[in-house]
Amino acid sequence: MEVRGLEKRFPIRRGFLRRTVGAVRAVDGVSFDVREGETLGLVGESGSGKSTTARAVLRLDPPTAGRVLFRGRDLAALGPHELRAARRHMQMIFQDPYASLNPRMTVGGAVREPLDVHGIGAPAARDERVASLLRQVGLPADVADRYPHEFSGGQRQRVGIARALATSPGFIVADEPISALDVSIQAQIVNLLLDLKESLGLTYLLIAHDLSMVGHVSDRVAVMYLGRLAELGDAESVLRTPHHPYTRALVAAVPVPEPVASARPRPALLRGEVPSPAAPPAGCRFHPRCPHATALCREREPEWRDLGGPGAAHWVACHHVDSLPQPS
Amino acid sequence: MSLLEVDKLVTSFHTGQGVVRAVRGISWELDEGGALAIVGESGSGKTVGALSVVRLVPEPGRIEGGRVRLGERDLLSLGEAEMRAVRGGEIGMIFQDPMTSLNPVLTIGRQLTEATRLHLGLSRAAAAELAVETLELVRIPRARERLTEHPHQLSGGQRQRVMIAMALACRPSVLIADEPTTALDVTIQAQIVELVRDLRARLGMAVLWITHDLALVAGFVDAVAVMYAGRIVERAPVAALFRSPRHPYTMGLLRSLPRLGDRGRLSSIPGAPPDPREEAAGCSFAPRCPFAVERCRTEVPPEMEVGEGHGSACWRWEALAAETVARA
Repeated sequence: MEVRGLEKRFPIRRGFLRRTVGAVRAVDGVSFDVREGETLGLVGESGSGKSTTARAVLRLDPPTAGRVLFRGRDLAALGPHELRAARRHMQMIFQDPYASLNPRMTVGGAVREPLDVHGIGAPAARDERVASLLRQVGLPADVADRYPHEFSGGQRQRVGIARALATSPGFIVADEPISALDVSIQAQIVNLLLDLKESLGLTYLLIAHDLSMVGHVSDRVAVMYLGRLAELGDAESVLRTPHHPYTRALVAAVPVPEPVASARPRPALLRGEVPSPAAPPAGCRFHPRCPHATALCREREPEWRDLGGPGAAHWVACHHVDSLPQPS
Repeated sequence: MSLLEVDKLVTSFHTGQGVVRAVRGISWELDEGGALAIVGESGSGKTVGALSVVRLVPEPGRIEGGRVRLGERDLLSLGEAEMRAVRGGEIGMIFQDPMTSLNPVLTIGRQLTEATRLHLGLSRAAAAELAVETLELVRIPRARERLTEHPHQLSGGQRQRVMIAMALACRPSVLIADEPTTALDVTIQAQIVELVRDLRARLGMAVLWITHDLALVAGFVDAVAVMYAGRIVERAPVAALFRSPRHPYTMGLLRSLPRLGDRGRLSSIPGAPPDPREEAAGCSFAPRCPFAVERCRTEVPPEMEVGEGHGSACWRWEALAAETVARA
């Protein structure tokens, strides 16, 4: 999948005539590729535009501008029939499977629905396919007749995954698939996603805010801030030697599961909060919170530069990336 | 003698669908100026246990046994008026969602001065001065101007700070924090943890921190109590808990935490927590436990002393200890 200059604006309407008085620039010119067979982790805090990006990429909410090419074809150029056919190959896993599952439909019905919609397999064979999907996500086949409310959060997420896999998609967008789950269940779901990727050869775009979890499962990581990409590179490279001051702050803010933190120097904490995407700061969007910001950052947007070596691109959008103190 | 002590506390909910035994006899102590984390997943009883301390268990919950001692007083036998003076006076509380504790129609100043005028008998002017001081303590910029503002005029992180300010208004000797950072972004979460760490040092207050996130509290508290299915399964000084856990659930939790920079599959705990309405004959964790033997399924393990200030409710803690040594 190739994403080029993706933009998503939401109009702000005011007054009796609902005149448009501005726009929330939720995603504001984002470009990246998701390579066949990889997991790309897209990380950001609330207001970064990461979930909007996910929905725009799948055209669940069509983008305001920019192009999304899936296997070389521009999704915007597809007619409704072609788009539906293409959707077979790209599916989404949601944060809260309870909200995305119809409470009045049995689990088996929910997993079967995409098969019916896309007319996959002979109707008689579909129940068998449902049973095999449920098995694949680690649920006993006899759960097919039960309803979503009878399941725990982790089991519901397994149902959501089975439903997403029903059409045998190659590409899956997972929007915060574990953040609503308990710690001991999170690891189960992460492992399931890893196993499925391996056995089915899936490609993932994983949207998340938990940097350490994203690092565990992603091949590459993209960091978003206020509608823009700040950094993109190999997961190991981005998490171990982050270049952008925002990525560094994010990495520093991840709680370390060690009891000796008081002996460690405390990480420099980011000041303030994410500004409103309705009125993003001029220049580099991160400058009001950046400890290294200069006049240049307040005026000009930084370029998107590749600092990586051959074969290991590491993109950063920061004016001062060459003069920043080396990450320790 | 410790400042706050909970002894064999039992709290249950009598619902139409049966009795939910949320807290099944927990005991812990908090020293003056100390910091204790109660760690557990949803449904473990960690929040109900904390609410029982201040006698704010929602209907149809009942405290059915045990003792809660603050200093010399038994909180469970105080009259309602005396208890109100304890809440917001000697014990300050902060919760996950600031909007549930902030009154949207009252100014910040009014909400901050109400408690100090009532509990400390301050004049309007003196209460306003103290309120400004408290807002500065939680690092709210332009504190004096904030007094006339309403909660909706603040950002999420600032509301959380105002809520902490309200909890601190009367300079309590104990701060109870129930998942105060769960809904916040990581960079803001790190700011709040740092703030509470700093306030504890400056005001010398004790902190009881309720959380599902073991990593978050690792560098901050003195001791940790791990709850599972209404009981404390392990209680230890923080370093001992991380280095030599003596309960299989704690071990499983620690192993399932993702670490920044690591990749691949996570170690996970199989299964899911039990239904809180069910009454297991033995250890509640036995169905998920790789070490469980017959005795674990028939007899509830009491807390056993396994080290200095280190208790474990596991029949097989010695076998676990041998296993951790073998691994190392």
